[in-house]
Formats: sequence, C-alpha cells, structure tokens
Amino acid sequence: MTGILIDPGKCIACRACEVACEREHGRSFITVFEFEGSAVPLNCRHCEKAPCIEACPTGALFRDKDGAVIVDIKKCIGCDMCLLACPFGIPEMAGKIMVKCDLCPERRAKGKLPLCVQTCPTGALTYEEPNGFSVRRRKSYAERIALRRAHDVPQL
Amino acid sequence: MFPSFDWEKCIGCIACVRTCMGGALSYTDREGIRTITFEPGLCDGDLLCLKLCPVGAIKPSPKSSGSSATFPLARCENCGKLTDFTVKEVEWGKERGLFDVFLCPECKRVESAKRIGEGFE
Ligand code: SF4
Ligand code: SF4
Ligand code: SF4
Repeated sequence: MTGILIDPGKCIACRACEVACEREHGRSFITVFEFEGSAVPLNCRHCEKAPCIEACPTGALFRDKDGAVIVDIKKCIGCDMCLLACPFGIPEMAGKIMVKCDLCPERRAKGKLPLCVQTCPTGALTYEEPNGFSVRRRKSYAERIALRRAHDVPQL
Repeated sequence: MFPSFDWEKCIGCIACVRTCMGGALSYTDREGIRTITFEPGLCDGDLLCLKLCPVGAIKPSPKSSGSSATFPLARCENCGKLTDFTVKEVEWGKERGLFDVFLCPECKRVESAKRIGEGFE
C-alpha cells in the first residue's frame, strides 16, 4: 500500500501543499481543513480496498504499480458513481471526467516525492512507499488508542 | 437491438446517459427532480448503456419506444443541501453498505478530516 500519511498534529494550515498541488496539476487535489485548535490536510487516501474502484461501471479506476488509485480519462464517463462510493468525498467532476489526487505520477517516475509532501515545511505529510504505509498507520492508530486508554479518554 | 428501460429498477444514476454517443439518452435536473429521457430516433443500437447499468435496468429489445422517468434528488443528511444524487441512488448505496448516513461531498470531506484530526484515519 502506498499513499500520503497525514500527521494533523504537525499541520500549521499554511496551505503550501494546496499551492504545490495546484502548480503540479493546475488545480489543488489536497485541501486543508481548520478546526478549533487543529488543522487537517485531506487528499485521496488511495484506500487499500478502494470503494471507488468497485463502484466505477466502466473500469476507469485502477491501481498503478506504486499502489496509487488512478483515473483512466479515456474510460471515464463522469457518471459520479465513484463520488457516491468514496467515504471521503474526494472525486471531483471536471466537465465529463473525474479528477483527483494521483500522487504525482510524473514525479514518482523520476524517483521524486509527490509535490505536496516535498513542499510541506513541517513534515505533516509523509509519502509512504508500498508496504510501509499501512503498517505505520496501524501503528500510530494503535498508539493513539493506547494513549486514550492510559489517559482514560472515552473511546470514540 | 434497442435498449428497453425498466424504470422501476432504474436508480437514476445516469451512467447510461453519460455513455450514450448519439444523444438518445438525456437528462435534466430541475427543482430537485431528475428527468431521464430515451428518444429512440437517435439510438444507434450499440447498447453501450446496457453494459454499464449497475442495476440491470436495461434489456435489449427488437423494438424501441420513447420513454422517460423522474427521480427526486436526495438532500445531504447533515446540511440539508440538495445533491446530484437521486433518493434511489442513496437507497442503493445504503443497501450495498457504502454508507449509513448520506452526506454531500463537502460534508463528507469535513467529517472525514475531523476524524483524521482525532486520530481515527
Ligand atoms: S477516491 Fe476515495 S475511495 Fe477512492 S481511493 Fe481515494 S479516498 Fe479511497
Ligand atoms: S465518474 Fe468516471 S471514474 Fe467515476 S465511476 Fe464514473 S466512469 Fe468511473
Ligand atoms: S444506468 Fe441504469 S440505473 Fe443508471 S440511469 Fe441508466 S437505466 Fe437507470
């Protein structure tokens, strides 16, 4: 599994990732949400079991060799079914095709990081290579649960 | 062969409309109602629509006649905004376990960002 690991504790809501993404793609596929006392940059999660891939009636969504979930614009008809299925509300319609985060394939082909990750000044975004991501994500999730238990915070 | 539509089965997703090359299938969203129309005069019989329909609402038929159906659009269950999805699509999504609560894309993003902020990605 690959993707961008978000560390909301580090995000300072400078929106450099949004600007970087827009420079690479012409529009930004990452959005910073600000809440009271915290900020969360959100992009496609490149889900391990991606509901969008299963929902697409034309087979336009596929996983590339790095594990990124990609739209084949030749097959996409812009029907919105991926958006209905996506738990994060990520797919956007650009005329008659769907567009979303593709983890910067041209950059990856040259061995470079996705531009948002490269740009983030605080390290709130980390690019995880295949196999590293889910392991670390599970680990940090487990650590948080343990912390909550230790501090007697109610489990959500 | 031509497509024949079972509008009872149809969930109004417009996958068929989007794939239709000749313009035989069309739709409008007006005042919270989606109308899908099949105009056989423009149909070239390629049946691309039939292959895409997620609920099997289209069957091949030697004869074709014009038909149309209306579908109320669904509102976000959080902010109440009218969405681009029909009530039947939302019911279909719930039956398939895609979601329990139907949110518009904007609310989905905010809610999932909140969860990630709380450490529950
Ligand atoms: S578009 Fe949504 S469902 Fe698909 S991989 Fe990205 S986050 Fe997951
Ligand atoms: S909009 Fe495109 S990618 Fe999304 S479900 Fe429809 S055909 Fe597939
Ligand atoms: S693809 Fe099937 S369910 Fe979707 S609008 Fe067409 S007939 Fe209805």
